[in-house]
Amino acid sequence: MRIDIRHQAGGFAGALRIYSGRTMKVTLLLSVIFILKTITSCIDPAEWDFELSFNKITITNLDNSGFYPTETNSDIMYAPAVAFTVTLSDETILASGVNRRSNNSFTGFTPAYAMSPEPRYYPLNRITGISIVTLEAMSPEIPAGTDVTGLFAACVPRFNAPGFLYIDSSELLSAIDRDFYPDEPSVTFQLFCREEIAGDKAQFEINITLSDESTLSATTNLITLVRNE
Amino acid sequence: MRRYAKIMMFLLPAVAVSSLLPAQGRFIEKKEASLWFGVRDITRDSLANGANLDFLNYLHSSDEMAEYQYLGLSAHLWFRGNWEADFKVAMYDDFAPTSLNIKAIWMPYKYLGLTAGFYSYPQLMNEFNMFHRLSDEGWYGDTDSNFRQRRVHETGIMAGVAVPVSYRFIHLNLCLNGGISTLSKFREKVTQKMINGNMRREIRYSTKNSPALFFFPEAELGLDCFRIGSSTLGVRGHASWFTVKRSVDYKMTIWEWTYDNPMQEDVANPAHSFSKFEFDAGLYLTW
Repeated sequence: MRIDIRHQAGGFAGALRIYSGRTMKVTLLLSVIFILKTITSCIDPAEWDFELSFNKITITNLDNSGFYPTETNSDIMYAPAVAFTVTLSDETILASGVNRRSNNSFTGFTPAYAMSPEPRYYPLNRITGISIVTLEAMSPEIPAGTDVTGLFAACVPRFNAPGFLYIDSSELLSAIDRDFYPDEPSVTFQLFCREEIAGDKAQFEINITLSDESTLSATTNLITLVRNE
Repeated sequence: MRRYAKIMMFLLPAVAVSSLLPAQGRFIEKKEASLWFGVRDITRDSLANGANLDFLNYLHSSDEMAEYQYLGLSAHLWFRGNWEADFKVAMYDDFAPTSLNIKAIWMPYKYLGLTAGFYSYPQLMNEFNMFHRLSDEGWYGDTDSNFRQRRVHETGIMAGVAVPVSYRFIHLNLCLNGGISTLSKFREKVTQKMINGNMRREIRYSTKNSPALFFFPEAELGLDCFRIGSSTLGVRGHASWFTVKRSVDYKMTIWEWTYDNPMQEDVANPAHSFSKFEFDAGLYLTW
């Protein structure tokens, strides 16, 4: 009777040993997979740094007659509400697109990242100057061809938010010339004319000088001005 | 202000539950605790809009009987040596004990005493941006589309006379208080944009102290209803009237286009007559 009990106990202990050994192996295997998965999910932030070269300037009309400015295709503006959006960008990057996520993910699980860093675009050519020249006479004192940069206020929605008001055009350069541009290979700013233009037409040329001594220039559409009644 | 009110909230029950000392030679000879509900009616003049915003035109006032309702607690202590103390705390529906009426009373005569105390209560100032919306033609008067409301506190010190009269189960207490009070200082901002134009401007207001003399008579009537041992349960009613004439002056700073070169102006506004009537009723327990 005693032998039987001992025999049964010995069998049970063996089964338990086999069972626990298998569990250990499975746990170990899963742990290795998990660690591999974690390693392959890691992101090197440096891989999200890109170089950009400003080579394109785009101007869009702004409708600033209401509460907030909105982009518009219309070339008609109120004389006290002449405003534009200017975008400087790297056409090459925008056209090709950027692979924003590492492809070496381990199959089996949906990749889960602890963080998704924004790509950072480092400019090869820094912005060194901005000038706005009127192509139409704004008043008898401001004939066509005058540099009217000082007559504009600005807003750089992503980079300066001092409050409700604009920044002076003299502060615009320091607001848009940055060590890097997060998320997009471009920088956008808004220009608001502070002068009520006396004539019935307005057109401006916007020149951006860059550190590689190149200049990006664009001309606004010919704007027809209307007045408050 | 709220901190003092909270201290009072702890002080009142502490006084109420303090141990009953033997009658002879005890420091507090008699105590009373009350619970009441009241209404507050505001009457103020509204002056015609001038060149500048006058905040007192926007104190909450309506044609209704009472602009505010409140729940209150009070304690009255009779000390040895003809001294008394009266603490009243009231709260609106936010249950913040922000209305305070604290008095020390010295009774050199049976029917005449002198009072000194502290008085404070909050009220609402609503839609002061309407001034800009109505006055500034050609502008979006205030780009903040929220309902503009702020709470201001009238706070003052006071002194006066008290006339307590008791006949059997009827207790009447009249107080004629007067003092000096000020409306709490505050800062406000209004942002504007020209309609059909690029121009933006920001106006910031910073109000100054607005000390003014006030007159504040009170009448309190208590009726003993039940006597349980040495304690008495009764009903009470209290009415008061508060009147003051004051102006709220401020410093105004205006920025146009950018935050450079602000224009500053000290604005003096005309004085407004303001009064409030309060009535509350409830229960009291004296022991």
